[in-house]
Amino acid sequence: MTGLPVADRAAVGQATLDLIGRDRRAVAITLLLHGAAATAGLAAPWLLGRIVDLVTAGAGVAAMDRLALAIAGCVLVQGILTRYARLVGHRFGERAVARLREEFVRRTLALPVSAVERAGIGDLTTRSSIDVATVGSTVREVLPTVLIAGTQLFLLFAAVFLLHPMLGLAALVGLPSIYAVTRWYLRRASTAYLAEGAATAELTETLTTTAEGARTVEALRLTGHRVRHGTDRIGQQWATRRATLALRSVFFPVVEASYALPIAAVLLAGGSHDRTTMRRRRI
Amino acid sequence: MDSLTGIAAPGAGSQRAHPRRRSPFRRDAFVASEVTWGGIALTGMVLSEVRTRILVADPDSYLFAGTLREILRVRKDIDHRQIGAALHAASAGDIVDALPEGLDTPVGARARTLSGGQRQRVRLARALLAEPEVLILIDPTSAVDAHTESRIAQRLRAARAGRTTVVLATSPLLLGYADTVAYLRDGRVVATGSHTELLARDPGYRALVARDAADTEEVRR
Repeated sequence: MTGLPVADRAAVGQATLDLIGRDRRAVAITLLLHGAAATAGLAAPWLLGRIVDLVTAGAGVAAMDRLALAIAGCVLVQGILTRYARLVGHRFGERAVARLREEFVRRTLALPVSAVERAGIGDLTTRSSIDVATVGSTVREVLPTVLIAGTQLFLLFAAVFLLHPMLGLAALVGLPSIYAVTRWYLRRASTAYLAEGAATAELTETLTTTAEGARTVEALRLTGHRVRHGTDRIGQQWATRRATLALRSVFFPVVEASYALPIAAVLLAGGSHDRTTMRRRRI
Repeated sequence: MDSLTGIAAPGAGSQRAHPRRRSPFRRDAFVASEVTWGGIALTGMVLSEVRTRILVADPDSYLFAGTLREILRVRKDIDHRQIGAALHAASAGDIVDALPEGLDTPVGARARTLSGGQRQRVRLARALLAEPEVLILIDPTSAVDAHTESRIAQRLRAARAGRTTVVLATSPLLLGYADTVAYLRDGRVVATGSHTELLARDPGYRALVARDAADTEEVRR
């Protein structure tokens, strides 16, 4: 089966920009709301820190109550903002997906018939259903998540560095392993996911044509033949899915484990810093 | 039961519509029918048994994606020689010769890369390779030219030697090779006999097959 061609990196980037560019307002509002929600989320830990400070300073219950109320307020605001951010994001996502599907049909109809026929039912079905859905969830959830997380990271690192450069350096110890595993993952991911997509297309093709040719399968007693064919395709699908799962099974644990490193490092750095200052005081 | 029977029914496309309606393919069609096999009603036979013995080769039969060899090997025990013989009988050898990798050329679902006439001949070769005791061919040569049709008509009998073959067609080339031709009108047999007998006897039959007369002339010349 000679499927339709697969876009290269530059074409994918351009298509993503086009997709966002056509709905700039919705994207901006989504990002703004997500950003505001993230900021509201940051306020809670800071207020908690204030409470701790006040308790150590021996402040009254009333001040504490006010801060606790402020925390509750922040959480509430964060919830409401997140709700609307998601709402706008989903509406944008659905519009983008609808546009993609229409575009897909329009372009397919514009192609020479022979090219479309060569592509096969499997490739066309997979592209218009699973692939479009993947793009949908990417623009709807992955894009805001990456941007918000990026902003939060920047703010947090800035805050930690401002508190103490030593703490800032300690917070960075997780980065090398994350960087290494991300490079490792990205180098393999593209091929593996393309293979998975191709296997899905082939399986769809087999299922669809078997159903279409059911009369012939019955008349010529091709049942065993078609079942074997389907089993082969399922085997391919299984193998390619296992391959991408294997990649994720390395990537995610390493990244998750790397999150613990800065915490340990901060505690160690904090501890040693505290000891040296205590020692200095004693002297 | 070595016989080649022709069935001719009027109306373009009616040959196609007709067997569909009374097709032994659908189980409910058996229920009402009185078709018997060696004295046993078809309804009393196990379905897989019916499928092994009787094959209705309809013009829409599906061609799955695969190499031409995979398409033709409807059973595992079919060897290269048998494939060659079936292709010869279906006058389809040239299709294989024209393909870049011969029998091992991959063909997509519905064999869309082949022409209508080529697909029809591949289907015919496949039906012959299934070797059913009774082969019912529906309009097997409607999409091929008269020369090819005449070759197929000549070779069909040898390819089906010792077995029963029923051909539904209005082509005089095909019907001319049949032992008996049944002329159908409104779903009923109104005349039987050889093609030449019917031509002489029945003006309705003459008119039905005459639309192909021009082709016949062409072949003779």
